[in-house]
Amino acid sequence: MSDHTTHHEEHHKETFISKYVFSMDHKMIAKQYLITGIIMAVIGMVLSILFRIQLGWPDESFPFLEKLLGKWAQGGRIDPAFYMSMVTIHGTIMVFFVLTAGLSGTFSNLLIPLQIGARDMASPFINMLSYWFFFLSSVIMTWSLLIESGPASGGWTIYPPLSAIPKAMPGSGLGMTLWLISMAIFVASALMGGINYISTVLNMRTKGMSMTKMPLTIWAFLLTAILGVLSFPVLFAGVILLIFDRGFGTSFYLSDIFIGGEALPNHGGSPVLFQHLFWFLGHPEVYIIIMPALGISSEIIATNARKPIFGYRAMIISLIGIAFLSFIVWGHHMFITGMNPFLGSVFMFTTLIIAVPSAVKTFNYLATLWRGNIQFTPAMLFAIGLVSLFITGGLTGIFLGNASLDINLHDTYFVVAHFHIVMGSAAMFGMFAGVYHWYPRLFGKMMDERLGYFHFWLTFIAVYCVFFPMHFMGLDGVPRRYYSFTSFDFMKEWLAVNRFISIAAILGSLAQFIFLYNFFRSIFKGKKAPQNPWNSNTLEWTAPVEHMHGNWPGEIPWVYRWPYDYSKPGHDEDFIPQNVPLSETMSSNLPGDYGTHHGSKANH
Amino acid sequence: MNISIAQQLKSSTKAILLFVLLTISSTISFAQATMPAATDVASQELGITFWFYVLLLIAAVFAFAVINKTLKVLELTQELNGKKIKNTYNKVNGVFFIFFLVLFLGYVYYEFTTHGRMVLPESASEHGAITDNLFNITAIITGIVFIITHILLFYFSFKYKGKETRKAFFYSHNDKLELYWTIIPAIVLAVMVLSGWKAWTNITAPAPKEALTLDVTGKQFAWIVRYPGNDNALGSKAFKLVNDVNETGVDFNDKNAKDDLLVNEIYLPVNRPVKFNFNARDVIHSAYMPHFRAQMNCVPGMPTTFWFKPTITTEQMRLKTNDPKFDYLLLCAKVCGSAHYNMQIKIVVVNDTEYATWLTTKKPFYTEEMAKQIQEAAASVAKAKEEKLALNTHE
Ligand code: HEM
Ligand SMILES: [Cu+2]
Ligand SMILES: [Cu+2]
Repeated sequence: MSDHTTHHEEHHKETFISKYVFSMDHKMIAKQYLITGIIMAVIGMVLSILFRIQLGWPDESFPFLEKLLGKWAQGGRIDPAFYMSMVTIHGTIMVFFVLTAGLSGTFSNLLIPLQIGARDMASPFINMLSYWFFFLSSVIMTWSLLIESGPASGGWTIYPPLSAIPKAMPGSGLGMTLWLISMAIFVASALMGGINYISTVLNMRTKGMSMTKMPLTIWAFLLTAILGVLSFPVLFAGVILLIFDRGFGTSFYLSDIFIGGEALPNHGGSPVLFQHLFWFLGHPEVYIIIMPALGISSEIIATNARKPIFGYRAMIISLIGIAFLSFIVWGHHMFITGMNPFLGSVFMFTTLIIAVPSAVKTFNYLATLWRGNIQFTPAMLFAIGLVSLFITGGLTGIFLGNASLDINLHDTYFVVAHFHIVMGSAAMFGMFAGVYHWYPRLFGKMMDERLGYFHFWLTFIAVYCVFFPMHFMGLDGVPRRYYSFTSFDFMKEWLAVNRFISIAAILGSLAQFIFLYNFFRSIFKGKKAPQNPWNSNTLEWTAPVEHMHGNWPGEIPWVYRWPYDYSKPGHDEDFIPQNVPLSETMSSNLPGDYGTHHGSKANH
Repeated sequence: MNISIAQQLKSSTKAILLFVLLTISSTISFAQATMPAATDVASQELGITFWFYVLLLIAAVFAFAVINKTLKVLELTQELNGKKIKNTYNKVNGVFFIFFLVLFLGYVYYEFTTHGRMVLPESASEHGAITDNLFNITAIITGIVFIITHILLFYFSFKYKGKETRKAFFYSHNDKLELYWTIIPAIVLAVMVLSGWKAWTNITAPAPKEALTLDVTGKQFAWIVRYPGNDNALGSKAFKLVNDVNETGVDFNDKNAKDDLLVNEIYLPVNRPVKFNFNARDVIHSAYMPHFRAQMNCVPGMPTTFWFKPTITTEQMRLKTNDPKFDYLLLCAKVCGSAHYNMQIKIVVVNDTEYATWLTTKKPFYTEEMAKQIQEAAASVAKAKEEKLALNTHE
C-alpha cells in the first residue's frame, strides 16, 4: 500500500499550473467545473434581477441602473433591446453553462471514477480539454455582454430569421456571432466530456461493479452523456448552418424576407428547419439537465432516509425510458409552427408517454421516504424540494403536451412557469443537494448545516412565490419575452403580481448569498470532514479525504453488493458499504444477494 | 465547542444582515418615481405598494435575524444538556415540513381563488369551449395528483423524521405496486391523449367552405390585415412585388385583388367561421388571439393557416366580463425584436348587419393614386438592388 503511494509521488511532481490550472485529475476538474458554474450562475442571477426590476416596476426609473448599464439604461430605465439581451443571455447561461456544464460537469467528473472504483477518467487529457473548452466558451459568452451593439437577443432558442439578420435587432449583429462561436465551442466541450463519461462507465468499473450494482447517480450520468453525445452534434449542425446563412449568403433558414426597406435575395430556405434541429437537441437537453439531478437526489434520498431506494430496477428502467423517449418528443415545442397536424398528434402521443416514467420515479421517491429514518441534512432538504418541484412542473407538462391545449398556452407565461419549476428550479435544487452532500468529498471540509437550512427554506419558499403565479398570467394570455405589460389594458391587472414576483425573486436571490458565503468560507474555515460523514454505502467514501492521484492509495476496493443496503435487518449498523463482502454479513444476507452476485460471477 | 458555534453564528449573521441591509437601502435610495406622484393617482398607488413591499422586506430580514438568534439559543442549550443537535434539527425540519404543507396548500388555494379568477374569460370561439373543457378536466386530474403527492411527500418527511431510536424499514421493491403505478398513469394519460387528439384533429381540419378568409401578415411591429372585399376572394400575392407601399406584395393585376381592403381593426361576423392565412414579411411572429384560444406562427416564406368560429360578440363579452372597455385582440407571441411587447391589433366581433355596414365604410386599397405610388416604390427597390450589385462587382 505504501509502495503505491510513493510510486505516485515520484512520478507526479506537480507544479501549481499542473495541479490547479491544467489539471488532469478528475476531482480537480470537477471543482473547476463547479466554481466556473457558480460564477456563471451568479451572472445569470444578476441578469434576472435586472430584468425583474423592469417587469416589477415598468414605470419607474432607477438611476443606479444607468450607472451600471450606461447607455442600455438611459434615464434609469432599461432599454427594450437590452432587456431582450438579458433574457437571452440569462437563459443561455442557466440552461447550458450552469445546469448542463456546471451540474453534470461537476458531478459526473467527481463521482464517475469515485463511485465505480476507477483511478481517473478514461482519458484525463480529453477531460482537461473539455473543461478548458467550457471555460473558453464561458468567457466568450460573458464577454458578449460587454460589446457595443449588445449581446445576442433573440431568446435562448435563437430562432432565425431574427437571429440571422443583423438588421432585425441590435443583438443579431456581433452579439449573435459571439453567441454562436461560444456555443460551438461549448458543444465541443460537452462532446469531449460525454465520450469520456461513457467510456469510463462502460470500461473502468472495479471488480464486482456490474451495471446493476451501480449507484443511480452513475446510471443517470451515463444516460445523460449518451443523450448529449447523440443530440449535441445536431445543435452543432444547426449552429453551423446558421453561421453560413449569416456570413456566407446561404439560404438554409431564409426565404422571402423584406426588411428595412430591402428585399433579401435569399430564397427556398425554411426557418422551421432550424427549429427542428434546435429542438432535436433542445428537448433531450432538458433531460440532460434533469437526469443528473434525479440521479443525485435518488442517491441522497436513499442515504438520508436510511432506506434502499425503492424499486431500483424500476428507477433504471424509467431513466432508460425517459432517455429513449426524449428523442422523439421534440415536436411538442413546435405544435403551432404550422407543421402537419398529424405529426402534431404523433408528438402529442410520445410526449404524454414520457410522463409515465416520470410518474414512476416520483412514486418511487415517495415510497423510499415511507417508513424511513430521515436525516435532514441540507442535501436531503434540497432533494425533497426537488421532488416537490418535479411533481409540480411535471404536471403542467401534461397540459402543454396536449396539442389542443398548447395552442392557447404556447409562448405564454404558463410555459415560463412550467420550465422554471421543472427544469430551472428542480435541477438547481439537485445541484445544491449535490454540493451539500459531496462537499466533504470535493473540499475535505464540511459546510455549515444551519446556514444550509436557512438557504433551503428561503429558496424553497421563494421559488414557489416566483413561479407559481406565472401559471395564471399564462392562462390570462400574457405572452412571454415581453419587455413590459403596460401596452395592453388586459395585462395591467398583473402589474401588482409582477411586483410581488420581482420582490420574491430579489429575496430569493439574496438567500443565495447565504449559500455563496457558506460555500467559499467552508473551503478555508469549514470543519474537517470525516471519512464518511453521511454513513453512505458508495465507494467514494472509502477513498481518503485528502485528494490523491489515483483516488485510492492501495488496491481499488472490490464491490460485493448493491449500493442501497441501508437499515438491513440483521445488521447492527444501518448501512453496509458496497465493498463489504457478503461473508462478513452473514446475519443480514438475503437469498437475492447471492443470486445476482454469484450468478454474474459464474458467467465470467 | 459551544463558544465556537456562537462566534461563528455571530459573524455569519452579521455579514448577511449587513449585506441585506446595504442592498435594500441602496435600492430604496435609488428608486424614484419618474412622474410626480401627487399628480397621478396611479403612480401614487404604485408608490404606496412599493413602500409596502419595502416594509415587508425589512420585516423579512428581521424575521431572519430573530429565527437565527432563537436557533442559536436552542443550539446552545441543547449542547449544554448533552443532546445531539442533529436530532433536534431533524425534528425542527420535520415539523417545518408540516407547517410548509399547510402553508403551501393554503397558498395554492389562494392562488387558484385570486389569480385563478384573473384568467381569460370564457372562450369566444367554438373550439375554445371544447379545449377549455379539456383544460378543466386535465386540471382536476392533475390537481388531485398534485395534492395527494404533496401531502404524502411532506407528511412522510414529518412522520419519518430521523430519531436515534428508530430504524428504517428495509423495503427495496414491490413489483405489483410498481406495476400499478405505472399502468394507472398510463391509462389516465391515454384517455387524455385520445380526447386531446380528437380536439386537435377537429381544430386543425380544413376550414369550412363558407368561411370568411383573411390575409394576415406580421411585420416588425404591426399586423397587416387584408379583406377579400365584395367578391369574397383574396387577390394573389408574390414576394417579388413586396415594397414599402405594397407591403405584402399583392398582385394588383389579379382581378380579385382590385377590391381587397386593408384595415386597422379586424371585424368578424359572429357565428361565421373565419380562416386566417398567415404570413410574415421579415421574421417569425405568432398571431395569438387568446380570447379565441387561437394561435399560429407567421413564418416568412411559409404560409400557415388557422380557422375558428367566433361565438360571442364584443358587445356581449363586455356585458359578460362587466368591462365596458373590453376588446378582443390579436397580439404577437413569438419574440420578433425590440418592440415585440407591443404588436397588437384589435378584433371586433359583431352581428351580420353590423358587419355589412362596416364593410360598406371601407374603400378598396387599390386606387390610381396607389398604383402610381406602388410603381415608384417598386422602382426604388429595384434601384437599390442594382446599386448593391454594382457595389459588389466593384469590390
Ligand atoms: C412530464 C413531463 C413533461 C412534459 C409532458 C412536458 C411538456 C412540455 C411541452 C409540451 C413544452 C412546450 C410548451 C410550449 O412551448 O408551448 C414544454 C416546454 C418546456 N419544458 Fe417540458 N415537459 C415535461 C417535463 C419537462 C422537464 C423534466 C423539463 C426539464 C427538466 C422540461 C423543460 C422544458 C423547457 C425548458 C421548456 C420550454 C422551452 C422554451 O420554449 O424555452 N419539461 N414542456
Ligand atoms: Cu420538450
Ligand atoms: Cu412580432
